[in-house]
Amino acid sequence: MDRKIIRKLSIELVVITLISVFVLSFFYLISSDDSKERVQQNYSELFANVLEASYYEEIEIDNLDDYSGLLGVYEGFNEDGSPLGFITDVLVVTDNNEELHLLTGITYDGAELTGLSRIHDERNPVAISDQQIAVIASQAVGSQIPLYVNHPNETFDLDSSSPRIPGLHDGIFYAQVKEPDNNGYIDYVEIEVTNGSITRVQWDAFNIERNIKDRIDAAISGAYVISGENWATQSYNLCHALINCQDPARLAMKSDGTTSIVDGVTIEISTFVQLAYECINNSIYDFNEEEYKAGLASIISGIFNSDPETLGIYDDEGNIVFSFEDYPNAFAIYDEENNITGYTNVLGKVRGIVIDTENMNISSPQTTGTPNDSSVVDGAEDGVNIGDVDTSSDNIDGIPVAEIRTYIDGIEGDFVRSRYVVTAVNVSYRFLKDYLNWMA
Amino acid sequence: MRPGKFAPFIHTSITTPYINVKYLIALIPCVVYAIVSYGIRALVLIAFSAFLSTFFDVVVEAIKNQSIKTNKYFDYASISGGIVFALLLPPDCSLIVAAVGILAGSLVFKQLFGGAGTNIFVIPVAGRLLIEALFPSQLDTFATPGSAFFEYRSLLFDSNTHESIFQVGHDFKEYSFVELLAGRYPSFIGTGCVILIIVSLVYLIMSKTTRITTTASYLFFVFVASLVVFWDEGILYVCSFMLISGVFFVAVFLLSDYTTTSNSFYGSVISGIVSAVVFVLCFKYSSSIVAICGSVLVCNLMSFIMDYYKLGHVTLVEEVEE
Repeated sequence: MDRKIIRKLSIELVVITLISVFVLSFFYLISSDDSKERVQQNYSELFANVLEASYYEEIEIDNLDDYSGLLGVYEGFNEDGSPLGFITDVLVVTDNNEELHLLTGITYDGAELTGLSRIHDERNPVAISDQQIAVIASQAVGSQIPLYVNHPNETFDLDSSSPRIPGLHDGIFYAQVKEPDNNGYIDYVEIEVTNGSITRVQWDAFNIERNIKDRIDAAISGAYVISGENWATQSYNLCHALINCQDPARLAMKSDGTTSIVDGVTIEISTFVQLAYECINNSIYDFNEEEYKAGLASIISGIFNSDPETLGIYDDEGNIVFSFEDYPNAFAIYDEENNITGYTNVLGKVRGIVIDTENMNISSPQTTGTPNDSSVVDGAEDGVNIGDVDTSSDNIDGIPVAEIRTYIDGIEGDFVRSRYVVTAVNVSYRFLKDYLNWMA
Repeated sequence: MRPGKFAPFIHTSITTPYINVKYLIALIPCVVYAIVSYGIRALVLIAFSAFLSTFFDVVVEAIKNQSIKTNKYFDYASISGGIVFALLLPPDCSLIVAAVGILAGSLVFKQLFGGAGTNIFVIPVAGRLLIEALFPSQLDTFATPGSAFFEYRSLLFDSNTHESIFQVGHDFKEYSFVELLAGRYPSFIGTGCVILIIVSLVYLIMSKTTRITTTASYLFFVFVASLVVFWDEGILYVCSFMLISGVFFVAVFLLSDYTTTSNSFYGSVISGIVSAVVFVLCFKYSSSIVAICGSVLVCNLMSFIMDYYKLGHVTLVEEVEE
């Protein structure tokens, strides 16, 4: 081919390319309205029973892989353009590779579930019917997320088959709150672990005013009065329930801090649950009561540069009566530039372990007694992989137990399948929490 | 006998390389569509396939001591073959799968049947059908055109991820004609935009480097066969089917080749009819790619048989007797 032909062919190449670009652009332009209408029609058909909106838009997410199981997120809008909520497309994969593909609808600001719907395109579907999903939806829709499923209200026998938190060391473990309540009481919980099981639990409180009796004594004597059963009785019932179920998560604390599954307990149990978790954590790290109190005393000594005896922080019972109200940074974690990055507890402060006290997740144990971290959720390529449905950790689907807002009954007699559905909702919550920087 | 030297007394610019370059230019509209609709992964697939196809041809020719430099002959067919192969791939195809198809086409189907210029099959089609048989689950997802322009991970990893909910029961009846013409329906990366394929056809006709008989026969009889097979669905369904099935791509680029289609008029028509019937039946009872590739390979097989019994020594004997 000579130069003339090559030049001719080159011109033809350029002309054809330009014509192609022009024709394609033109047809894309004239078909864009049809395309938008078709897409919105598809969206409405799929999403209307989950979150009804005037129109929907897909949200482009760069780090979708960080939320394994999340296939897509869409936002619903009113006619005036104000956001109504979100629809998440989630694929849950079970440990035997069954799949459950769900759409969940969540309100924009209330973190309430607006709807649940299944997409029947799974390669190996979980054997759960639409009626069963409707049962869960009827319990969960309108409630705040994240969710969890109540265990059946039955008594656990403390034998070898009792569900225990793994990795507990034997001994007596203790935790107390940093600041007193409105009545001046500093709550504490003490647990005793024998052969890896919790065998004794005590929840009481001593007063910052040392001349006032402990709360149990005050309740028994009538000096401390609450509605419902006597506080001492309720404390006893709750402690007994924890011994039976071995895991504070199974006390099914609701969003208002109460529980409905422990007979006779009407008080808020959030403080008890928080302290129980701290005791369990201390047991995992073999940080017994003696070490705890010594550590706490050393922290206080560090603040005042004086020894505990001189400071007079011990009462007659050996409790450390001290409020950190005026020393909010006593348990702060600092970075290299001396900025506060979080807060720890006594164990974290004494042993240098990074503990996020809000989420109670242990990230870098440096001493003996490495916890047996049985995660509930194990991410996989194509979905959230449930693995063993294990509720014995202090987080559920990667969400701290304390953040769980609603406990549902689920499908009667089928905790496992109910759990799959709840996981899909919780994956959506985790994403939206990060995306919107939002606490439900 | 070296290629390109059968009639040394005829001097024309319309040589095989010239025709193939025209063919390459005609592929540009489909390449533009592929890149605009499917982004980086389409561009990489096309470039990779073209390069690999050419590379294998060069290596084989070097091994056979027929180096390009010595003969100063390179007909660009390997480049166009690589591009056509890529245009028949789904957008989430990985490079490894593409490489297997190119390797099989270039080394097995091409060289075993005589090499450049003498093979009876359209090589990219044969390679594409082979990988469909070997890796069916990796070639069955179709991304929405215009989405994920910068997506590239599917090139490197198995893209066997869960499909978008909008692929579930994807029904082309929901699309308007304009959308289908514009290539908005998810398909193989180069076959989706009929309007640009028509631009290519016009260019090929104007440059007089294509056989139109088989193309026209094939298109017409696909329409007729579709009307028969999909009678219950109606004529609008058939028209939409014509736009999304890839039949235009087959007709323009795969049934217009000089070496693999019949030289005679009647041969071309009959090949077109048979291929059309095979296409429609395969589409109904198998998959789209089996329909596309199967109909082309049937046409290829028929063409030399048709030409042998219509032309060749029969005609020559008649002329000698006269």
